[in-house]
Amino acid sequence: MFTEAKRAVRFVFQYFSANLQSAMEYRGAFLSQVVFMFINNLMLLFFWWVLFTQIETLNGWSFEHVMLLYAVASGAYACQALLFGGSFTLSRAIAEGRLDFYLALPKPVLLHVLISRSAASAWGDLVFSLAIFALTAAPSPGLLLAFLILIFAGGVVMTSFAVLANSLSFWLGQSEQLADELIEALLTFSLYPEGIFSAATRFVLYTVIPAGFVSYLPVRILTDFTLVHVVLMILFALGLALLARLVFYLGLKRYESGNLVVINATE
Amino acid sequence: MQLVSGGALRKYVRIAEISFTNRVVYLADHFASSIFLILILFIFSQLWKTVLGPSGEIAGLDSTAMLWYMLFTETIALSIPRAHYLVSEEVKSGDVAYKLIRPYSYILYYFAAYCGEFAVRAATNLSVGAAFAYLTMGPLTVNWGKFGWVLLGFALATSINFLVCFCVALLAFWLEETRPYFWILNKMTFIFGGLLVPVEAYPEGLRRISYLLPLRYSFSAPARLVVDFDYSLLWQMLAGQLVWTVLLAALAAVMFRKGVRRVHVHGG
Amino acid sequence: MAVIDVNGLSKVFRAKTKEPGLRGSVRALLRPTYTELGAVKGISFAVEAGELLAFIGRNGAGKSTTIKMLTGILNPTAGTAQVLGLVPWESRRQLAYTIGSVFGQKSQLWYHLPALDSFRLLGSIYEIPHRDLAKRLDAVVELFELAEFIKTPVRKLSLGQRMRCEIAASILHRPQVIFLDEPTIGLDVVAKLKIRELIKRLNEEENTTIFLTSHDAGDIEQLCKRVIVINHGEIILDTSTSYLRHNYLTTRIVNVKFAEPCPGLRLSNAEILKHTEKGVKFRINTRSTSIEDVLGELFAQADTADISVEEPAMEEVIRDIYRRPAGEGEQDAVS
Repeated sequence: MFTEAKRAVRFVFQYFSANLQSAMEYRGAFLSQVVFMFINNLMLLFFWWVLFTQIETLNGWSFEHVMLLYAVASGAYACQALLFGGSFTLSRAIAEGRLDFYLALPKPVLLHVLISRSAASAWGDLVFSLAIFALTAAPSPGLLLAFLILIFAGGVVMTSFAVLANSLSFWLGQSEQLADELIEALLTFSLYPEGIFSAATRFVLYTVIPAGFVSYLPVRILTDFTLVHVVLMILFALGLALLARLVFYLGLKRYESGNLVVINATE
Repeated sequence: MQLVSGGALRKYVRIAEISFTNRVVYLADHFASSIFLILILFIFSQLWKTVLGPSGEIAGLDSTAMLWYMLFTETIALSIPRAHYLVSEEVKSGDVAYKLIRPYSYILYYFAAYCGEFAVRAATNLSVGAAFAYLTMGPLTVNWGKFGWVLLGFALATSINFLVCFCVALLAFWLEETRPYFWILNKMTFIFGGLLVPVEAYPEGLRRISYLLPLRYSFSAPARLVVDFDYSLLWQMLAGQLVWTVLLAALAAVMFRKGVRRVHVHGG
Repeated sequence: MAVIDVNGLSKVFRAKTKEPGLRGSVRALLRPTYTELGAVKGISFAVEAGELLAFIGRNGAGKSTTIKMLTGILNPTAGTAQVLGLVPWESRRQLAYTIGSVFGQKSQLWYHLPALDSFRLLGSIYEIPHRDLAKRLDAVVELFELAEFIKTPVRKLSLGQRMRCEIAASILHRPQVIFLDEPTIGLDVVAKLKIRELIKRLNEEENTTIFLTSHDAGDIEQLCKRVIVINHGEIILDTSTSYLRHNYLTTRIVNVKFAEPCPGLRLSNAEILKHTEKGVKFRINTRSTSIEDVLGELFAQADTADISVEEPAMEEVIRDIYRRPAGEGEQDAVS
């Protein structure tokens, strides 16, 4: 069990460093992508800055809270995009029959697909995340460690959600558009403080579209630490990951048995 | 350079018409892409209700007006056709030369095509978005008597947005890559166009800058006029729009002429 | 009257040269050095009304530079040209109403709409009065046999059908001259034949002057009465297709089947390509040798069962033309 986990981690990092190295081959493009993404995120904060010149607090949220929210959400997104970049295009891989390639290899199919890609521009998100974090919290080593663990857990939630959304393709056929919209929705909701939402919406955001576990709960942990919240966070991330894995492999059975009408496979 | 002569205007109307028809093919796609609009309208409907409550105001707008305001700025922003990328590509590949031997003005051709496509996109975004805003925030009180002015404002805003995009696209005559400039334009639109809140709510310095740029006159001002009609804003907007339309049209014409001269000399 | 009149037309491109590396880039920015590239070098020719002419050459020979100057897209470096009495690069817009052009894959048709919609739009663009357009559309549809698919969105048409619509689109305004740049490129054999037939019909029925560039020897052979060959920016041949056929098609390949093997066969003025027990294949140049003489020599030595004589394909003839030295003094070794 332990050696297996170690092997999996090594596998993930092999891909990660290979992806990074190939991105570095085009250093100029890589750097400009990173810078652009950084500025892009800064622009989003601009709105909140303007808003908080008009109001004092927002249901108990201050501008610092919103900044921390951005640090967490963009950090989680960076984890997803850098480590599990294949999660964005999974449904395309399904529809185009590209899973065959991974099925023929001795590594776990889902993990292999997820780590096969890495979005270089997400380095900009990571740099942004850490910079904003450094600006808001008085960063102690302990807090930084907690932050890193939380953005990783958030990244796992986002990845798992993306896997679930993309796995719809196993049953619905061509549904890349739908999956993209769902993934986009999760990210968008993660970037707004939960304080603005009604109770019913909040319920949705802690279940169906789990933005709560990407950013709201981590922010609460970082500002007001309770062990219960940490345990809740980790259990949810783990549970969702297992659910995503289960659903994916159920779908994969359909794929393997040929029940799935593979569209575009020959085009 | 003679652009429009008498009956020749008809051809540009026909181009706009056919561009409109060509986009109707994609109508289902356009409705699907309105999902993003719905998503942000949903978030902001809850945001403004929470922030402003039943009586709060930002820059003189209550929560209902704020949402409708955003619906109009976003409708303009999300309905801008991708035609300028095409112009950029044509300029870069030299294909622009082949359009020069047709008996029409290149700029007016693309302006007409742009208007046709914008109409389709704006109609879908506006109908979907308005239905949503109506259901969540209630109706917008429209001053129908002044509606002609509002339409004029939107027409001029569309010309400004076309000209801005077209000028950036023409940079391809001199630069290898224009995408970063479109990206910067996009970000500047977000801020100085006042996509989410009217620029009047900005701190003094930023507000001044936005008053000096064309983007305020093509996004924030016309959208604000719909939700909060005011004659002094109208005159100010029209003056700004006219000045920018003339300036940008002149700039586009000069850039195009200079760029084309390069094509004549250097080939495609 | 000549509809196209070209005199000493030249085009020189200046290309910036850059040394490799960052230092090279900086130097190129500060003190650019240029190399001059003569794309077209003083060509002259005239085309009469109603001619159907092929302008051929390989990639980079100066074909498209010439066609761009004749349509007014490019300014020449030197020389003069008139198309329908107008200088193209001075009166481009005015000329546009009287010429038509089809450039390879640069479509005039709207991809998602039926060709008919694009035709109606072009009617407006060329300012054809409404009533005339209806009549003209009928005529063009009949001439190019488009009725079957004119209401189908262009994206659903085959490449050949699309090209037919493309050419039809360019003749709606009754141009006196039409420039066709590679009209048959990428088409299958049947579609090519159809396009050629239609171009020929256009030339005969409407007396349109047709200026056509092509790579395809078949286009020239089956379509054109005159051919101009351009190589390295210079005209190396300007002649009628029949002259080309009779004077350049001077080699013949002879295939002979033996009744009995003839291992000791010797032919004095023929180049033997293949010699087996069953037969022999050889090439004769009819300019220096008569076929009869060689056949006489053959009959004296061998007992033959069957003889066939082939002409070389136009393809080969053209390849042969390129191989000859161009102009005076210029020795271009082309492999």
